[in-house]
Formats: sequence, structure tokens, C-alpha cells
Amino acid sequence: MTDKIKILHVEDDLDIQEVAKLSLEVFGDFEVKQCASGKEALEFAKGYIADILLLDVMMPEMSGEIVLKHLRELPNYQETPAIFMTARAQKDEVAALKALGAVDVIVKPFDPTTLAAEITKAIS
Amino acid sequence: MLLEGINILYLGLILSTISLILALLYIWNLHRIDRISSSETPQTLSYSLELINDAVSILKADTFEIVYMNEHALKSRGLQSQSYVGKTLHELIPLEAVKYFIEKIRPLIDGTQNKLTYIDMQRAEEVTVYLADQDGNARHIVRVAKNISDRIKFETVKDEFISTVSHELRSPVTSIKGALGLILSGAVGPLPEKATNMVSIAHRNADRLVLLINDILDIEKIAAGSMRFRIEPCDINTLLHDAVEESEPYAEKFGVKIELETHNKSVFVNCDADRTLQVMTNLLSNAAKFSKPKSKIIIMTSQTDEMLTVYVRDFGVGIPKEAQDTIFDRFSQADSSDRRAVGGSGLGLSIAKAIVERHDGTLSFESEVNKGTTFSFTLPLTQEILSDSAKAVTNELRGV
Repeated sequence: MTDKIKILHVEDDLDIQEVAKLSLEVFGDFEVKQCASGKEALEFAKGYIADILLLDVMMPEMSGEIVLKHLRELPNYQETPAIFMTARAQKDEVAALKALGAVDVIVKPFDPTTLAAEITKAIS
Repeated sequence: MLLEGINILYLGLILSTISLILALLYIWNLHRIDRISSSETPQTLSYSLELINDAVSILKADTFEIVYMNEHALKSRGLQSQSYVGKTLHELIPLEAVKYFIEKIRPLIDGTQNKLTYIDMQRAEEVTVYLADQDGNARHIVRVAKNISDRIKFETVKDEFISTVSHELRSPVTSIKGALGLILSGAVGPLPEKATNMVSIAHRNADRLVLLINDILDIEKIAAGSMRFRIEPCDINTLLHDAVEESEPYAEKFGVKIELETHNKSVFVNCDADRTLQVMTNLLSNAAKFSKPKSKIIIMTSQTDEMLTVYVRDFGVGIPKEAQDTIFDRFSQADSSDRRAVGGSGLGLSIAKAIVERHDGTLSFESEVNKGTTFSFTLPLTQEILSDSAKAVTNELRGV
């Protein structure tokens, strides 16, 4: 058994997945599960309860915003803190993402040495 | 698609240049009308003007009576041939359009200019208007409108292209920068010294690439007029403290200290806090890059009734006279090797100037080689919410 904080990370870029996973595990006390698409995440979430959602915004087929909307329909994800990751750093875009209920918006490229601290701060 | 767009643009430019030359020849003829045989003048000129690919209209400057419209001008206004004869501008086009035109050509009517050009986005036209004065006879207004819908389309495609490419570039850069950052942090084990140096170079240049992408996006947003501003009263002292805090680690890399020499009391200016912070960050990083090691950067402010001026002074290498005229141009740095030597995209000052001007302020500088440079920019003070204490500070600064 582990008491690590569970993160469900949805990101279509596998290289970014790997960098994020390593940085969260080395610099934070997280258990990281990853999915490469919204569809995969929605399937996976039915059998997994995460403490935090870390969602890429620009993904083919299903954007991060839509993934969050569908995840919120699942009983276990109605209030899970969500954090978006985006390459679009315009103020109004960040504000729009926060308006969807995200606790934070992390702008890409992120610093792998401070990513864990940023997420911890956002949920505390 | 982009190349096609460029070809269309070039073709458009060539046609437009030819058209403009023909139009100018016509105006020249208005001045030198006696040089052409009187029996041939109207037919020859009219025939020439019909060949022009632009919409040409000529009207009397005093009454706005239409004297001539070529085929393109008629078509662009949905008018029949000769339907303009004996009519004034007011009788042919909607009142709003007349008002807009008069407003645009005000300097011609006032006599302060005899030629001007403006872009009418609604009609997708670049309009050049001339005031032709026939040696003391009746003055004519010659309006030459060039259709620029292809150019606008091209600009739109270009903007979208740059925006998409820039955003798409962020994904690989995220992986590169992230992976290098993890290696340098020791997260994947120790590295030999030489390898650490090499990875550091790669990491530093990944940072430069991010900076360049961000600046290109900003400059494109400015050019397209799509950079959004939320202008509201902001305490300049809080903002300057934030700027110092943000830029201090960068300045330390160059062994430079930042000193803030301002009053601690609140003074409010109308600005977009994030964008003003961006201006300060650009000026401070520039100052740090070109400072002498162990020197300092001083931030000061001064006030008049309506404006606040922020000064960023360094004691660095200064800007050579020959580089001063172009220092705000894109990709301009005093020495072409500067960009590689000290980093930076070469867009920072250009972006800062555009942001300041969007606040109805000005960005300028004074510089002396080997003594240093002072950049200064103005922002409008928030008059209505000046607190008593702020007013006191204002008066104190003005020596009242």
C-alpha cells in the first residue's frame, strides 16, 4: 500500500509524458498514471481514483477541457482538483481554463525541477 | 500555400506600382494640362485611367462634386456608368461613408498635406488621396483605391501560420528542455564534468528558443492588433517591486545589482500590469546584459500632472550613435554579434515600445558609449483615484 498522492496525467505527447512522470516521481511524492488520449483516460478513470488530474489542453480528438467535462460526470471525479497544461499562455486563455474549475494552469514548457512543487502548491 | 500567397502579393505589388505611376502621371498632367493637345486630353486621360486596375475618382475639393470615376471605382460602389455626372459625393454614397472619407482626408482639407494614404479595412482598400492644385485654379481631390483583400488574406494566413508553428514548437521544446533539465538536476544520475558543460549549453539554448518563440508570438500579436490589454489602475511601486524580484536572479548571472530608488507610497497609473511588467523585465534584462560586472541598475520614477515616467539606468557599454536610430527595430541589437554573445531574441525593445505606446505612453533612451544607457517610459497617472497620500507624494516629487 502507498500513501502517495495519485495523479492522472493525460498527455498525447509521449516524450512529455516521460519527462513529467520522472520529474513528479523524483521531485515529488506522487504516483503517476498516464493516458495518451481523452478516450483512454475516460476508460481508465472508471477503475482508478486519482487525487489530482493533470490534463494537457491541446490534444487531437478530445481537448483537455472536454476530457475534464466528461470526467466530471464520473462519480469519483466530480471534485477532483484539475490542473491544465498548455502551450497557449495568453492571459484570457488561462482565465478561461480556470473558469472551468481548474485549480492551476501550468504553461509549457514547464520546469521539470519545480513541476512537483507547483502542483503541490496548487492543491494545498 | 504560403508561397502562393507571396507570389500573389508580389504580383499585386507590381500591378499596384504600375497603377500608382499611371495615377501620378495623371496628376502631373493636371498640373501640366497645357502640355497635351486640348482635343486629345479628355479622351487620352480617360482611356488611360480605365486601364488602371485601381478605383480612381476625382472630385472638386470645394464642393465634392464628382468629376470622374473610372470603371473600377463605379463597380466598387455599385454605380452605373456616367451615373455620377453632376452629382456630389453626398448624393452617391451613404452619409457614414462620406463622414469617414472627410475625416480621413482632413489634413488635405486643412492644407497641412497634399497627399496621404490610409487603409480602409471595411472595404479592404489601401487608399491614396492627392490634392491636385492646377496653378491657382480649382483644386481637385484624386482618390486612388487599391484592393488589398489578397494582402489581408495573405496576412491572415501568415498570422495563423506563425501562431500555429510557434505553438507547435512548444511541444518538442518542452521535451527537450524538460529532459535536459532532469539530466542537469542529477535526477538520472551523475554526469562527467565535460558532459555537464555540453548539456548546460543545450539547456541554455533551449531557453533561448523558448524566449524567441514567445517574442515572435508577441510581435505577431502586436502587428495583428490582437494583443489584448486589461488597462486598470495599478500601484506602480508594487509593480516595480515585482519587476525587481522577477529580474534579480537574471541580473545576478551577470554580477549586476538592481536598486529601486522610489517612494514606497502608492502611486496609481492606468496600465495592464502583466504587460507593464513585461516592459520592465525586457528593459531590466537588457540593462543587465549590457552592464559591466559588479555594476548596478537603478530604477527611478518622476511625475508630472498627468504622466509618470519610469527610468531604468545602467552603467554599461552604452549604445553607439550609429545603432541608436534602429535600436527599436525588430532583431536589432547594437552589434550583430550581441545576440549570440548575450542572448535575447532581438525583439524585446520592439515589443516594449509597442506595449508602452498602447498605453498612450512613450519609450525613449539616452546613451553614452562606455558610460551607460537610461531607458525611460511614460504611463498615464490615474487621476480620479489619487489618494491624499499619493497626491502628497506627487506634490513632493514635483517640489510643490
